[in-house]
Amino acid sequence: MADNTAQTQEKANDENTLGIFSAKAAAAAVNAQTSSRTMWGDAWKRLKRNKLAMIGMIWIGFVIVVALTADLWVPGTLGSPTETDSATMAQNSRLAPSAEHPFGTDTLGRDVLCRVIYGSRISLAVGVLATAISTVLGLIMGALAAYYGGIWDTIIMRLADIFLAFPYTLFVIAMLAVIGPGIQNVFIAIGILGWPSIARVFRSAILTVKENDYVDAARAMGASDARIIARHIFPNSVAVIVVYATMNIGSAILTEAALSFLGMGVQAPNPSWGIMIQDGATYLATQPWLMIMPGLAILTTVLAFTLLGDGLRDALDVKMKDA
Amino acid sequence: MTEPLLKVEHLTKEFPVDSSVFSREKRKVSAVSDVSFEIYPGQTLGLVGESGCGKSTTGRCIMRLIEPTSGKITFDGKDVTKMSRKELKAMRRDMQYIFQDPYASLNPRMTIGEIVSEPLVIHNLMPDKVERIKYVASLLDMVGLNPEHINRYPHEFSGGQRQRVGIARAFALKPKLIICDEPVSALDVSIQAQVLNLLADLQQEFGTAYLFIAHDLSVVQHVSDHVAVMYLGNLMEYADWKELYEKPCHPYSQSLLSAVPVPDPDIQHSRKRIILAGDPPSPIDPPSGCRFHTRCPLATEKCSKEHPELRDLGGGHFCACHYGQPFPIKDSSIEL
Amino acid sequence: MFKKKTRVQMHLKDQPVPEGAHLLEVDDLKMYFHTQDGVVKAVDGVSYTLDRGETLGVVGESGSGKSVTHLTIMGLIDMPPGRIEGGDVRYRGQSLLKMSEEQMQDIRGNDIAMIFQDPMTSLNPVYTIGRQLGEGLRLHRGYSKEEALKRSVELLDMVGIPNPEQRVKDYPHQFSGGMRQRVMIAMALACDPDILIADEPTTALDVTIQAQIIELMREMQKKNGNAIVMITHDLGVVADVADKIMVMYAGHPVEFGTAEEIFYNSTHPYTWGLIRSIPDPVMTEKHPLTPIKGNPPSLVTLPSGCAFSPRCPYATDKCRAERPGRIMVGPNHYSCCHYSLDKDFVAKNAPKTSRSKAAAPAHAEKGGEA
Repeated sequence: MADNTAQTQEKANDENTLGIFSAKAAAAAVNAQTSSRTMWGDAWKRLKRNKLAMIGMIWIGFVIVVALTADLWVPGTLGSPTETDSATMAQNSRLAPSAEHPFGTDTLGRDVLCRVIYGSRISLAVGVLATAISTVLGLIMGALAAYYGGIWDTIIMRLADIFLAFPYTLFVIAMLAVIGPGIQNVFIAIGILGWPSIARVFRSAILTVKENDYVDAARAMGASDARIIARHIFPNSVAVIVVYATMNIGSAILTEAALSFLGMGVQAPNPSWGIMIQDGATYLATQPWLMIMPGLAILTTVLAFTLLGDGLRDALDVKMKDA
Repeated sequence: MTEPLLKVEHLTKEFPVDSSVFSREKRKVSAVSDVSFEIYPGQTLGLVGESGCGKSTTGRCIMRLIEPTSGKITFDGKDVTKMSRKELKAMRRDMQYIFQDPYASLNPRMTIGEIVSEPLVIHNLMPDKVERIKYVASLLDMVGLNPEHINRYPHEFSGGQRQRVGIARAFALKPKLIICDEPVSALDVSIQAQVLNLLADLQQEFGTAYLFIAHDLSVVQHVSDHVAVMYLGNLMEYADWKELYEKPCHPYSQSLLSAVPVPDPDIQHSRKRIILAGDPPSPIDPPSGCRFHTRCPLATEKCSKEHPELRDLGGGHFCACHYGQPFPIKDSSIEL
Repeated sequence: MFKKKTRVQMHLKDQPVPEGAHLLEVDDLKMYFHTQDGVVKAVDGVSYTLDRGETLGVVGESGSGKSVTHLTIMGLIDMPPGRIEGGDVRYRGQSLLKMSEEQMQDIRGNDIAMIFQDPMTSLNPVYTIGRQLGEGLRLHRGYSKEEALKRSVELLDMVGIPNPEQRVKDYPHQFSGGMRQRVMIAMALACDPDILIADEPTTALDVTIQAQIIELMREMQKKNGNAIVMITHDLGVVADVADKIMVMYAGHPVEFGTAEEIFYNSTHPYTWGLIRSIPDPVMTEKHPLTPIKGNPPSLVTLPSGCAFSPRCPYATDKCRAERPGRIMVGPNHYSCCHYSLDKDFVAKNAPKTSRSKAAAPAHAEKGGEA
């Protein structure tokens, strides 16, 4: 008997689970829903708390702003990155860093800071465009392989294996040898040859996500394939691609520098960080700034992309706490 | 007598197994073989068995999440196995699924509001956003979640609360049948009871029928009108819940019953317990005759040779055992 | 010839338990995690003693600190973020918390062994079962490869794995879940430990297999005389194996006593809730289950007063304001509820058991059950 009363009492306490739904709660819910949260908004909130990622992002932002606005102020203050004034060339050649030339000057008397700034245009452009090309190709190939499976999967993945089996830089050089050197071709070569790793990462991400019950749950609700891909598979597999692509920008910058160093990329007198390092290598013992300054530019920028990528990985992980 | 809402006849599902390069022979796993049962509107059929017995496969076949190999599934008068994509979509308004794993079954990138409203969006009901949010909030309230949390993500909730989200989603379309695939196995006992009560209350309110799949007979007893026991793809016993508890006929049902732990040491010490030896055999190569004979404490020659058919013991009690008689396990074991 | 460095030495478990001490004494153990979100009081004042041959059941919901307590005892919590905030753990009179990592490595597996819930991830998929079984023996006992293999076969045989000579060469994926848990038990018992800590050993298994594994652990205990700590969320699982039971809630032990006391004379509403939420297999009519309402609290912001008060159907203002201390209900039975000594309260609200029903007048029996 006593047990019964206890049960009814607990039942009464539990009643609120099925109680009459209050208008107030509905209003609160509507309010909550309209101040909607999105995946990217939340990720941004988490990213902001990551100091290293923010340093990386600020540095990238700074480099981008400087590169974009260079034409407005650089020629007036630091001179031209390419033209040489033959009259003053001899006395301006290879000056040590000073107030007038913060990064020093090169053999032809050009300001190194000026060339580093113009070089950043090339580096950023190669990094972003080449990565964009590889990402688009990689996403298409990866999605085809994962979604259709079977023969598609076999063909695409074996092709990717073949691409990955060649040393990457040699492959790019070989390709440039065929299509000729020059900056556009560098974009294309790096971009096209970068797809296999992205395709692989995306394919395995999709395959992992596809296994989840929530994909079955959506099918059980009657969702179309398009909806399942757009709402369930893509948002859960794209994070890894964002991270991968961000880091890939850094490695594309390095590849361009290596190609220019080898004379396959940007052609003189146009500045690029790789060419500048090659030019400066001769004077490493006597005028080290010629090599150190562009080297630092590469180092900091690639590092910044890596830090940002790392931060994005954590920020896009839904399991991280919001508090 | 009313028509059954769901009628499963001779359902069979075989999965091909990767055959090795050197063998010509195609091997297959018979996950479900020749299973038949019915569910009436507003009633619950409990489907019990160990992992790998085909109970989840049966549930998924009914929903057409996987294609059955043969057999007929009639839902609401229509044959599910022959439905076109369009008919299937329409059918899925009336039949919903609750998954075992409350972590994997909710998309981590969607808020619980989006998750619960997804069925409405898919079927294009309630296009008005505010109306839809209000309805979703009322569903959350109904399953005992705070409607103000509509904007939170699944990872902000505990396992039990996530399962409530799954239940709210399943009830969003007020379906006629919900397939509950081990909805409480991943939860703590104290939370299991909450979820089971919630399911029972919602059934009362909306008259929904359940196919309740579980490996724990005591859980199934609590929610089911009828119980079906499966072993290695075969239906072993089918009876009214009370009948099955009072007069389990199949030795497998008896061992399942006796394996349920009781929170009372005196009873636990005094009752007769049948502890089955070994594991269920592989469904790739099921034993001949009665599939249970390798673990059955009462098996004879006949059991290893002849496959026992489901026999009608009267009163809607069916049993697939050559020898099984409804014998009152009560006297010998669990009685207080 | 190259000789592998072995660590054969005088083991703690060969030393006698000091006079007046127990095999394992956990004394007001406190371990907090210091996280970004605040201090998580994961283990907050856990005490118990354990002797050889005894079985302690540790029962509670997920997040109650029952696993973390024992990972702390084993020295398996990363510090930081974890930090011992007080208390001690003594094994045969020696403090485990003061031991170096090297000393702890000798203790783990050799003196105190642990098995985990998930037999799928606890075994390394790239080594054979025999090699994994023999690893501890070679490490702690200095067995040669052949000796270790021979012993592995014996161990597999002991835990009831058929055809052990063949199976010892198999890899974990060739075993079923129940068989893997048997292997885990064999591995834990390989060095004949004093204490076996089993963290939800049967939760991932089917009921029929669950019964087998519990039976096996009991048999092994009878044979080896080791102590067992059985961690579970289901009181039913420990009903016939535990000598003592500790019920934990939000990092605290809320009730402690012998199995008899917990099942038949419990005085804490949380213990009652755990007992009531188990579906009754002895059921003649349908009635709703009696769950514990709500969810376990966040350990960062515990409710004031009694941590269980928001979920307790009997909570009063006193419960919400004042945190109850340990109230001794029997010589070795305590409960952290203000009303533990209130006989009427307990008699009125405690769940019915086979004993209370037997004692009650016959006419009340039917009504009470339904």
